[in-house]
Parts: sequence; C-alpha cells; structure tokens
Amino acid sequence: MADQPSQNVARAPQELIDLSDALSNFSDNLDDYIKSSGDPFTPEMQQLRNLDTHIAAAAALIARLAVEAMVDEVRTAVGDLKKQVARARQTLQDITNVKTAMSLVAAVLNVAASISTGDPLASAKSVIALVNVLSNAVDVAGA
Amino acid sequence: MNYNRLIVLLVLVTSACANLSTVRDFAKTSSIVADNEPVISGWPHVYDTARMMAASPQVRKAAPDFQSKLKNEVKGANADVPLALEAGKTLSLYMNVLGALADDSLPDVSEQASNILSSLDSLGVINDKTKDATGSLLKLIGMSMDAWRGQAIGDLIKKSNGDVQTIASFLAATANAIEKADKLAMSVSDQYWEATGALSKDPGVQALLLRAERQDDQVYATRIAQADAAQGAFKKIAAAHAVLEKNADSLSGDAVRNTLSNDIPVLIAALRVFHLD
Repeated sequence: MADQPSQNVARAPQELIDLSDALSNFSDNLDDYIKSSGDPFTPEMQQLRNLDTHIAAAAALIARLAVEAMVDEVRTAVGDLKKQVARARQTLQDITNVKTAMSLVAAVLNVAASISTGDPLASAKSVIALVNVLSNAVDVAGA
Repeated sequence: MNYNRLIVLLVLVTSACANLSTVRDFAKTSSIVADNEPVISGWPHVYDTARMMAASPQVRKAAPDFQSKLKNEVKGANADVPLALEAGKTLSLYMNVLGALADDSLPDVSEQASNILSSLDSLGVINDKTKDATGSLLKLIGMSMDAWRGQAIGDLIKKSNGDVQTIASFLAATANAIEKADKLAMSVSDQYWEATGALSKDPGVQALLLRAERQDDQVYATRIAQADAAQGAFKKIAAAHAVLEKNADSLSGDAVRNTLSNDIPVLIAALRVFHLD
C-alpha cells in the first residue's frame, strides 16, 4: 500500500491512532492560534502555518498507517462474517418455508371447509386464495 | 365455533414471541450507517484541490515536499478504499440479516394457526375436546418458531461478535484517517490563501483572501464532521454489539433494551450528519 511499508508498522493500530490524534489536536490548536491572531500574513505566522501543515501531514500519514496495520485481520474477518451471513440467511429462509407450509395447509383446509358448506361463491374465493398462496410459495422457493 | 377460546389461544401464541424490536431497530440503523459509501469512497478525492494549491509557487517555496506527500496520501487512500468499502458492505449485510431475524413478525404464525383452527372447526373434524388439543399443538408450533429464531439469532451474535468488533474498529480507524486527511487538506488550503495574502500589502486584497479561506474551511468542516460522526457511529456499533453478545441469551431483557435505546439516537444523528436521514 502506497510507498510506506505498512508491513513494517511495529506499533499496534490503537497506539498509532492515539499518536495521530495527539498530533492532530496540536495542529488544531496551532490553527486556532493563527486564525485568532488577526494577521496571519506575518512571517512568524507563515512559519507557524508551515509547521501546522507538516504536523497535519504527519497525523494523516500515521492515521492511514493504523488502517493499513489492520488489513490482514480485517480480510479474515470479512470472509468469516460473510459465511455467518449466509448461514443466517438460510435460517431466515427455513423459518419462512415453515410459515409458507402452514399457510398452504390453512388454504387447503379453507377450500375443503368452503366446499363442505355448499356455498359456491365461498368455494370459489377459497380456491382463488389457495392459488395465491401457492403462487407466493413458488415465488419464495424460487427467491 | 367457540371464538372466545380461539381468541385466548391467539393471545397466547402472540405473547409467546420475544420482543426484539430494539435489536431490530439497532440492526437496521447500523446497516445504513455501515453502508455509508460516500464518506469512504471520497477519501482519495479529499486532496484534489489541496494538490493544486501545493503546486503553487508560494506554497512550494515554503514547503517543497508537500506535493509528493499529498501524492503518496492519495496513492495510499486509493489502495485502502476497496477493503474499507467491502468491510462496510459486509457489516451492512450482517446488520440487515440480524434485523430480519429480530423482526418479531418473522416467527409469528398466529394468522396461519387461526385459519387452520377455523377451517378444522368448520369441517367439523374437531370437537370441543380435540379443539383444545389442536389449539395447543398450533400454539406449540408458534412457540417453537420463536425459540428457533431466538436460538439462531443468539448463535449468530455470539459467533460473529469477534468479526464485527474487528470490522467496526477498522471502519472507525478508516473514518479517523479520512478526518485527518480532510484536516491536512484544510491546512494546505489555509497555507495557500495565507501565503498568497502575504504577497500583497493591500488590506482589501488580504481581506478577500481571508474570506476565501473561511469559505474553504466551511467545506472542509462539513466533511470533517461527517468523518467524525462516522467514526463515532462505528465505535458505537462495536460497543452495542458487544452488549448483544454478552446478553445473547436474553436479548429482550432490560440490559439490551436500555443500551440500544441510548445508542440508536446516536446512530440516527450520525445519519443526519451524512445527510442520509
């Protein structure tokens, strides 16, 4: 990554982040001082601004090195988490399948109950409902 | 048909389900936060203007090495962005599936149970005695579905916590690096305007240049606030998930509810800063 040898980063990422934060805070304070001076165009303020930018550059570099120090661990974690997500999705599908099966049973029984009453309109509605449940079940299975 | 008995049965089935609405809300909000592509993908472009300013004679005179430093930062950011985006997407997918499992309507089969019982009653295949037994069986199915979901969600949280901690910490560190990049770009911008102002002795020109500097600062301040909010949100996600892992066997308990109730507004506030609300 970049020109800096991230594999040679000896410090733990959190230490690097802390160091970057400390430098960044110092840079922020310098920036406040320059901007509140009223005249940032004097040679002294120009020198301070140059120092501020160098410190900000060091803070940015160290923060990026902290990110790069975590890369290997993160690649493994991303791979593992993807597997967990796939398993969880399968569980979601299984639970949905059970609900679908119960809906099918309910729809079939509803048709039978409607027919037993001898009401043709109710029977027709029940059959339509069954077809809808079947169609949804096919969609869920195909998803 | 004895409707009172049926209603009592349905209430029992429904009340048997655990209330995981706070877990669902946390997961859904975290999913949107983790998929916060604009902040991460914008990292290499943070320096677009700063690089032009660093190439100006007045900045080169004071800091001849800035151009190469910024070039290296862009190169590094370009190399780091793909993994950060993939990590964010993966965390978002995880939170999405966690939210789906935590949706209390998932294991609820009271409607199906009601329809089955009603039809069986209409068919006359069950009498008052067998109706109780059938109702109990359907209630058992509802409770089993909820227990199944509870087991699955607990296992998922326990097995994933290490990976979630690693990824959330990485994304927080990435947001931190982006914040530092924006601060560096702002410093270069400040240096450019101030070095340009130093070339002129005209107070009017200097005032105009200071105004331009403040306007640039405001643009950077917005981006810095977004990166800072992202950093805070990722840290919050990691901490909240650790609480979930600790209480994975009692996710509807007060410990989880209280923690997530405090954390969800922080995540929503972060989304407002990202302009994603």
